[in-house]
Amino acid sequence: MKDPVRERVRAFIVREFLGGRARGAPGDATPLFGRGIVDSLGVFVLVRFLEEEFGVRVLPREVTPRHFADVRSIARLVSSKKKGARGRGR
Amino acid sequence: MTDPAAARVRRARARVRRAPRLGVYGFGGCDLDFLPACASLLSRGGRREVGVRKEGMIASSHSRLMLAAARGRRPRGAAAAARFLRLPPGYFDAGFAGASFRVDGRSFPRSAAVLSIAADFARTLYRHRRSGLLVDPGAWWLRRDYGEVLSDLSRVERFRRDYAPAGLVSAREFSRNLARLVSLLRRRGAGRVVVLSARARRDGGEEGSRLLERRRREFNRRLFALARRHGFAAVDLDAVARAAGRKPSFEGEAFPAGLRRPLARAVAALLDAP
Repeated sequence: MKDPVRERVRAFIVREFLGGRARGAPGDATPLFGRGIVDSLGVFVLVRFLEEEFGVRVLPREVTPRHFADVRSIARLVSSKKKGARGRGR
Repeated sequence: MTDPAAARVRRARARVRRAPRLGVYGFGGCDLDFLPACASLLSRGGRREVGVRKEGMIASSHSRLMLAAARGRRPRGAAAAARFLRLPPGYFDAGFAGASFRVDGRSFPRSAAVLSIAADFARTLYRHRRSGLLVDPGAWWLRRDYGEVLSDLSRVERFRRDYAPAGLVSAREFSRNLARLVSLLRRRGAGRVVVLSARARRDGGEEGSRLLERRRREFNRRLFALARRHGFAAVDLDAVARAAGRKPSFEGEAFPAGLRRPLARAVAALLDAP
């Protein structure tokens, strides 16, 4: 089953950074930096998207190339933050 | 009666005044933060007066930006961009290309210039959609806490509306630009030019790191070829790191502080060579 977080992140990347060209859609492990899809400005654009789309808060120390390396890393960051928020809510 | 100790001090000071001053000027990011440590290594036990100054940041030291600044005309839209992106003073000026510079109120000739290829290797520039002004938006956030940018992400959106990415510089353009910069610095009096290679990074996942590494190797290969052809010095950061017993790569944004001393020794040796 497809991970819905990954799919939404991927769709955003295609729309915002690839001009809507779905043929160039990054795979889960496609490097976003090494391929020049995302640069440091793009990370802030992604942060804004994650905060609005998933209702998570990305901290300054989490704005690192490691967390934004590929779709899988971004989805992992979102999932861990949502899990953390649920845990705190109990 | 003359105090012999005071006379010795006077004679030593006179020798220092007679020796030609050496001015070492670096322009670039945190990989040049080692430069102040070169001063004592080059002073020949206090017999030579050495002035070292480091200016700029990685987001102002891209070869396209430096060459644009060297044209001497303040580009259209520069003042508005500086206000909007809170750019440091002089971001669009070619302060690196003057014949002299000041350290603690004293003037030094720009005898040597030190640059790095890190910006060309890693940074993406953006072009203003109407004025064509080139800028590295990292100048906005690389000097301050990311929290400031994260607290006002609407400015990022506005930046994207006004500017379009100009893409990473190609290896061929990098070579051409660096040759022009070295020639420019020499015409302005820099007898010695030293350029630092790009250091390995591991910050894009496995495949991302592999792609970055391929680009880095190509840029470094071209740097050393240019250095041989144009007679300037290129410093292999990997070799310096290995000789210092450190890992050849690093992760994250900041240049490792532990490399500053070995790098200062390597660059001072190049600047002091006959």
